Amino acid sequence: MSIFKPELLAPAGNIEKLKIAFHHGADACYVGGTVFGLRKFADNFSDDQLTQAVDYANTLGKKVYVVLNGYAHNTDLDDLAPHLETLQKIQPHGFIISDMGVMQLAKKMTSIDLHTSTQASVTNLYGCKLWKNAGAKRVILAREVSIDDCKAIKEHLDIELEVFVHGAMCASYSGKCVISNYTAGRDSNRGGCVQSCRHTYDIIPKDTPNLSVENAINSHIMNAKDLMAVSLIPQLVDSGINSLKIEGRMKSNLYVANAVSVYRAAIDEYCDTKSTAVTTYESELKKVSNREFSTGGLAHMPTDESINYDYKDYSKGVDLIGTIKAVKDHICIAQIKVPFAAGDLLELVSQSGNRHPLILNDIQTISGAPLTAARQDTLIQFKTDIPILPFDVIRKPIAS
Amino acid sequence: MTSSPLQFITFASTEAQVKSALHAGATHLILEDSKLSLRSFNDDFSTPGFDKLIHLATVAKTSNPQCSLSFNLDIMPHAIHFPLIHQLADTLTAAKISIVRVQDPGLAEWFRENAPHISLILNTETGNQNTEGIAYYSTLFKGQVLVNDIPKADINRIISQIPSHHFEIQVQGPILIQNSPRPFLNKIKPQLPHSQSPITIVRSQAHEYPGRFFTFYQNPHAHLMYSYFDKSLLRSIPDLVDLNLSGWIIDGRGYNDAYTTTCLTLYRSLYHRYSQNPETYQVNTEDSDALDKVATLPQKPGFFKINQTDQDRPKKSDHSHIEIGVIIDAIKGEWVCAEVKKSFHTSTPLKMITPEGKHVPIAHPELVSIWDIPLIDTLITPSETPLIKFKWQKGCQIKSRLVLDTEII
Repeated sequence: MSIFKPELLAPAGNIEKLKIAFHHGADACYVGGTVFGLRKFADNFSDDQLTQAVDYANTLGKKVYVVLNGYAHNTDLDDLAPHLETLQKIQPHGFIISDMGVMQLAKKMTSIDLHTSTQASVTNLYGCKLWKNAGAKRVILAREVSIDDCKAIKEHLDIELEVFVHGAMCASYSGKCVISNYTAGRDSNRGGCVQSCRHTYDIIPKDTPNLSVENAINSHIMNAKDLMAVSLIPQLVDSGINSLKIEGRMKSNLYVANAVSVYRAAIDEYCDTKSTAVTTYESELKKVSNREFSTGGLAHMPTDESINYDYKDYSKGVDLIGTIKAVKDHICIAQIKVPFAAGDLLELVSQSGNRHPLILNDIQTISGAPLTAARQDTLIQFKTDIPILPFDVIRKPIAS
Repeated sequence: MTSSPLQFITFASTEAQVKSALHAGATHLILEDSKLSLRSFNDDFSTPGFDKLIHLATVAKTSNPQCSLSFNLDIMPHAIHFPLIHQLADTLTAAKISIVRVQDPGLAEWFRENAPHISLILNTETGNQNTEGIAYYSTLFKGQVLVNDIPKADINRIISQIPSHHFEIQVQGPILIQNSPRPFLNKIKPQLPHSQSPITIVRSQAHEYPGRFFTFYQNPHAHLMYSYFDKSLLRSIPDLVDLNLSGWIIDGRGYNDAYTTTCLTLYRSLYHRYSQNPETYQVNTEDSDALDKVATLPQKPGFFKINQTDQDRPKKSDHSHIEIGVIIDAIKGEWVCAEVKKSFHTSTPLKMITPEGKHVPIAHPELVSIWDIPLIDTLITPSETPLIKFKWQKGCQIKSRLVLDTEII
């Protein structure tokens, strides 16, 4: 009997990341247009780039979902209507929407599939029914909904379900936080979140005279650890959840390649063999910049174990070095984001899912001039017999 | 627009709160039980069932037979909560409470299937700020509480476009700014007084915002964060009256009863004073002094007059040029390399726009591919020729935009 294989859905902050995600194994990507996403500071896609992204996905048999997941004020809807007309022509494979007004407008003006965003904080079967009746084909559940609850929803309602499996998490129910609005004058739910939950707070017992902070407890009190659910892939696949999503449109090429390739391998391995090499996968995911990990709400409601109270800095075992831009006759062109010296031990995150050691003794500018070190934001070329493809990513282990 | 008398609404979890609120002029009570009410500041967690509601409803109707009652079911319900919601629905019938307030709009489906005689009022706390969405929900709910982020001009627009719907707003009280299911305070709870209580309340100050003291309130449902000031529309009575809302909510949860009763008395009094004689109306010093005596936080209108986040609009993209790529490498005296983002014909004049906005025309670009294949009189596409090179020239810079050097009409 064949196992239902869920979609692996990846973030794409720009078209390069979209191609990296697809080539490393994503079945679909979610992207922001220039209007009304929640990542105001991601590169985001122009209409031309959206067209390219959708065309590219179609040639690969993959999908592109456009996020329209801000909470719209009336003036936002005025801007959104013409954008929807454009998107109807581009024909992405879905919209991700958290606002009922946006959903009704998109339903009226387009024929695109509608997905309810996790920002809508749908936590139960009845929320799914409401959004289905409102036009949603898929509901992206709140991050606090357990796999068991997902399974129960699938048993009672014919609707596609999607859950987050990896990446940063809101400290609150997504969409239920307006701290930035009242502290920084920026709307958390329209792309302006300043991540106040990551700040350090002095905690003062309620009846402290004059609110003196002298004896306050100092803590990253609301600093949620990142989500990592690769250990739950068997339960996630068996539950019939349709789509497993990786967070992070603002994250690096390395993050996208690494997370997508690991989850691709884990899903495929479980579907093919009914087992997963959890330890290996977790170890690989922990190498890329993170705030430590928990399984969020997928196994049970998040406890204080899901909070990184004593946060000092991101944990990581590797740095991004660069991305392969072109390859011809074993000559590779790479765009370098972090400097390295010729002869350094590097690693290649390959589209095959493998990690190859890579030592580049002979690196050159694109004019062929030899280099002893590669500088940031330049192109280099090098020759290698290792099978390398455009959109492979180079990283460097951090000496411990 | 409402034709019914304006309701003065407040919350009550105890008999004392019911009596004092009605005595101070509340005309509608939102009854709470902490098992299903998100932030009642009361501890009903270990009390089984909802018999308390029958008692509170009886006390309320005895004190003021005209008062109306609702129950606040504003937790974020998960599957585990639905047996309790069933139990609640049975008790509501016995208590003759026919209105339930919900935060989760999905509960409309549950009540439609299981207790269709109950009317629902939606208070999403966040979001739900545009006419299109509110109009949709008006088909599922008897009324809605408009969230605190909506300024009066938008409230006016919404009410005028959905005229027959019941709208309320919070006019006074703490502003909830975060609802999290994570028990943030658990780790430090042992170091706090009353550490055995299911309810924990502390004040907090973010290092980034010194002098602003937020309230953190944690109970078995959630960790809730409140703003460093109370919403107070005491000085906006004429605007409030003009909006012709169905109800004004005074939220005194978390404060002592004097806060609730003083505010109820003040708002009622000012409403009547303005209604009787708008021309001579003004807020007296005694009125604001009375509020100051019971308030513990600064009193501000919040976003009622203007929503400051509307000023933080995303920068408009520069559409004055057609961008076909971006410069990703430049070797002085030799090459400039660009990543192609959009198709263009090599016969079209090109220029660079540096990150500082300086325009650098490209003379005789003589484009080649990254592999040095000349690109003459041809269409360049991002899929087939993602990287192009041309001779270095003064002024070029990495991260410059490569654009068509043509006027856009």
